[in-house]
Amino acid sequence: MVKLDEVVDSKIDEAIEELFNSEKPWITIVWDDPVNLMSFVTYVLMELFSFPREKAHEIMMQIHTQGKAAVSTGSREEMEHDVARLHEYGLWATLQRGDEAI
Amino acid sequence: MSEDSNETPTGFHRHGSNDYVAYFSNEEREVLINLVGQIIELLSERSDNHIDDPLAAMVGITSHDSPPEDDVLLRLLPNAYADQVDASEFRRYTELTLRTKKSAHAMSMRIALKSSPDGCIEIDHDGANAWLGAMNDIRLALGVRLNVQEKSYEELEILAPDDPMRGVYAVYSWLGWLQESLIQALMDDSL
Repeated sequence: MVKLDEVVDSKIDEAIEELFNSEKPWITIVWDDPVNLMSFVTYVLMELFSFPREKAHEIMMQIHTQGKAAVSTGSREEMEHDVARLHEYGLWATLQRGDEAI
Repeated sequence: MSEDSNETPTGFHRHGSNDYVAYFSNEEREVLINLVGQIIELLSERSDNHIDDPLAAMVGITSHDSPPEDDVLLRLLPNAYADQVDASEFRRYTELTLRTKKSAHAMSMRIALKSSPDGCIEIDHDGANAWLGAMNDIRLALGVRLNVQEKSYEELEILAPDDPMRGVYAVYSWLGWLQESLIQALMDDSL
């Protein structure tokens, strides 16, 4: 038999989840920079995000040819963490809401 | 680079399963020690005035919430948001940590160089990442001075012999080559 307080708890959890999910996720963007070596950008993406080499290379090429690329998505806190780690290695990164035009 | 030396310059190469080795001439070693020292000094210049707020110092909050005026520092410590209010808030809570991490990379590189008078450097994976970060910060700094955002590499290649930027560009290019050699050694998974 389900206890009443458990029902209430699960309803609160659902409400909280809905509240957070209704917010569009945030994204981390890496911008092209004439100094950073292409191989370095690929290597940093592999190190920080555990991307396979092919995926890291693909994102690096997008940054290089289109001027920028989204490298991760998630909560604002997660993206702030990613941006800080990218800055540590000198990549030019910013974060913004996922629904804003990049 | 010492082309007269018996050893051809190879930059970094992998040694064993997880170590990376490079040999530097006295001149190269001195140049690297000098450059990495300048980065350490530059980062320390943006020190915090925590006299008024010891609690802020304890939890790593910086007294800076506006971007550095110096172009080199601004490139090393960039804004995280396009929005200035968000950027300031983020800077206030994270810039000190970023400066500390960048200084640690530079210190790691300087200690390795200072403790190897024969110019033989051997570093592990973490050491390699610190060197990559520090070398990249030096290149970012030199890149701002060389104005690589505006100038093309073709323009920089043909600087006049008496142009003071010519020497800076030579060092910048050499560092790029050195950084590339370490990245290739790190990504070489054939071993």
